[in-house]
Amino acid sequence: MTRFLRTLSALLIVAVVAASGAACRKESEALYADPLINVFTERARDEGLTREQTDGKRLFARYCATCHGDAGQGDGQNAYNLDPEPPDFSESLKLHQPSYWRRIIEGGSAAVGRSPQCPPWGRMLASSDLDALVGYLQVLTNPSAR
Amino acid sequence: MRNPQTSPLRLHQAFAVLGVAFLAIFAWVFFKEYLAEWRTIQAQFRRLERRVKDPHALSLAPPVGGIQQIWLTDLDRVDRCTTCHLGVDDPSFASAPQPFTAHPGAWLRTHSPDRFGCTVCHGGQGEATTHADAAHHRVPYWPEPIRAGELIEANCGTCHRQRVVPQAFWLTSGREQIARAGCAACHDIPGFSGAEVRAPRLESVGYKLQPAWVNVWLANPSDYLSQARMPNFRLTPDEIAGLSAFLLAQRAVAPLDSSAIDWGQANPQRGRTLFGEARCVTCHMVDGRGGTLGPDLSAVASKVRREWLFSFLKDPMRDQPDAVMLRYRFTDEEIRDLVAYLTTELLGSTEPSATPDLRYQSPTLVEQGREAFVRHGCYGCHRFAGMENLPKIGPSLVGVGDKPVEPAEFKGKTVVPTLPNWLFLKLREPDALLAASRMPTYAFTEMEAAVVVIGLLSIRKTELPASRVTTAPQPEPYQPQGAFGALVSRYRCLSCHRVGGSGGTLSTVPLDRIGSQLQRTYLIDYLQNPGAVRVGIEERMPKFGMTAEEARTLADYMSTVFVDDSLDGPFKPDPEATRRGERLFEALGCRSCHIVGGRGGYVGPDLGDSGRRLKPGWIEAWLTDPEGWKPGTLQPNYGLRAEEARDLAAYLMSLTSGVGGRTR
Repeated sequence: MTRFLRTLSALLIVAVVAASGAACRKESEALYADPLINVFTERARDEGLTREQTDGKRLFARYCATCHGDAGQGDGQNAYNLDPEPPDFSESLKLHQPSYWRRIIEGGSAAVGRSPQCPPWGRMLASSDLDALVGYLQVLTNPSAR
Repeated sequence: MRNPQTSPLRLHQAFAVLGVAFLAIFAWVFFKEYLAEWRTIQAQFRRLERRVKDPHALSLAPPVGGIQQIWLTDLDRVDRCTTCHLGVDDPSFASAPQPFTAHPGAWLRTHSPDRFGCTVCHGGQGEATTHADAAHHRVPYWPEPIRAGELIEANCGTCHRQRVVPQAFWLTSGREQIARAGCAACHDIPGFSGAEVRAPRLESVGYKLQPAWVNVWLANPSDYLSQARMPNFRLTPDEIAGLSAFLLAQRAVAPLDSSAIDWGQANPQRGRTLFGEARCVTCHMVDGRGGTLGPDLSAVASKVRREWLFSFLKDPMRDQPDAVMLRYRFTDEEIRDLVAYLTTELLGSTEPSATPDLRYQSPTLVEQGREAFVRHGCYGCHRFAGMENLPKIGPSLVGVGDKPVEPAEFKGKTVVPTLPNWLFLKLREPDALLAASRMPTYAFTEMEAAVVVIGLLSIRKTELPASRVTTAPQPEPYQPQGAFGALVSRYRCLSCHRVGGSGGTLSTVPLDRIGSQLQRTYLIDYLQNPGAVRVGIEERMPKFGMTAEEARTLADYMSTVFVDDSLDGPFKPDPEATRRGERLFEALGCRSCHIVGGRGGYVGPDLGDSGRRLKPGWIEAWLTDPEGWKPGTLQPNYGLRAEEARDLAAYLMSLTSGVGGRTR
């Protein structure tokens, strides 16, 4: 009888330890933070952009924003030197397909029969860069594409 | 134990049990192998492949079966990831679910799986054939789990060792940040040299500083300047008193004599005008505007003594032989007015203290200060006579990307105990992980600290074969001699400009072929009276006050030595070509970015007087291949034919009016 009791209590102890261990583990995993990764995920969440769109944003700031404006509204610092002035993307881009935008970025606005003011970037930007820019333009026209 | 020989029945029983056990184990092994995770996954892939591909493509597709493996003999790596990731190099699986998704982007075009495998870039355990063992997540006893996407550029940097890796933005920012923060002053870091880190020499600093300022600065540099480059060393009050005494006792080279200056006559207003005209803001920030090459001057009045400043403006190299600052050709009266402006108007928020502090006369305090100076490794950034051979105080960071991290070091922190997190915490709060850490506290933002971690994680222990590594060549320091060399040194041309890859980066134009790009007469004018070729650019060349003789010496040298013979061809004005060039200029929309005749955009340089400024051979070469001459330029490549570029050059050479050529 005592032997049975001893076995039972030993089993009980093992069970309790195992259960509490599992509980602790579960709790601590939830509490533990990954602060370094969070820097990037929070940034991505704030901007709501994918990696490709982030690349596109960077390229847009470098190559396009001087005329087209930071948010593509046609209000860049060089815009008022141009005739015609650059359009507001939130309206104008809806009139065409992304493949049409890509042709302009690649071959310049002259390539689609418009004024030659927007230069061709196709010889300087890689195909993946053009894709990234088109991806970012989609964000500009349609915030829900994020 | 009983003797089995005495009991044959028991022996039979034992054999029976063993036989059954053997059969069971055999069956278990057989079924385990038959039901292996990867077999199930390959069967799923075959079903998916039949859906994704048409019968013809399917008949061409290589048959899938068995464990796939990529063996990189030179790296001693075996990657079996493609056993399950079967669609990784097949674009038809771009939108397939994992593990069959095609690799995003164009990365595999430059990093073919046959040559690079998977774990070189992604980490993880390549030999494993189950999801769990492959270390897709952190697993015990495997130090290199799959690198999180956010940090993956660290793995780019293991092979790509040059400072700037164009496709890896975060890695590049991390490396720039490591260089800017001067980490190499205290740590051995592969790819970074302690000699890059420059802070003022302190052997004569006792003449320079106001005592009250020294205490404020040592206690926390960002109390004086929010963007201070010096980090906070968390000094005790005793250490501050000692260091302050030590610093104020340093009086090796006395400043130039300014006793003849009548400060009563000084005119701060004229000094302010001079400050603007000489373009001091190209390097110095005042009230949030200006460059960062030199110190922020917003509150300089509370920092330096008037007499020292006078001497420094007259000859910066007197107590700072390696000064970035150039030696202007100011008169004593001009310097007096500049000093008056700097010391009476740039007060910042703290009032300059007039209390004389004579503590530096106590030898014990000075000795304590010297000890603190050495203990905190101040000599790493501030070169100091007699301390040249002292070792760096921080641990070497060779192989830091493989540093083992003990969970115990995270005691009391609710943080996943990984090396990236350890480095991140250490950078943000050096004393949070190790209370006695001598590492100073930097004012890194979270993002700055994060990119530094990416830069550090790229430094791995393993030696790579040379064929795997890309590096940038180390430029030879350029030290011209003679009359030209003396002028280059006096005006510190190399603080901003590069020759042969060595020099500053403020100017985006290397001087190596400047003599073939710009006309000699233009150079002579420009050196004496630098205007703004690009209207929108804040950093302009300072107005040195150079003599005509000096400008001629510089221009002559550059026009004969800094040339590229392939650019200098004969040029004859041709009215027909000029007209064709003009039509082309308008047709291509050049005016969107360039001003001609007072009309045009501000993105590129004003071309109104290009006929007096540029050389035709250069225009032609530049327009044909802008990126080739200047990587990262904004000048678009129009794919011009040689004769089109020549016509444009003819047109631009005809523009000598300079209408709209601004010389603000």
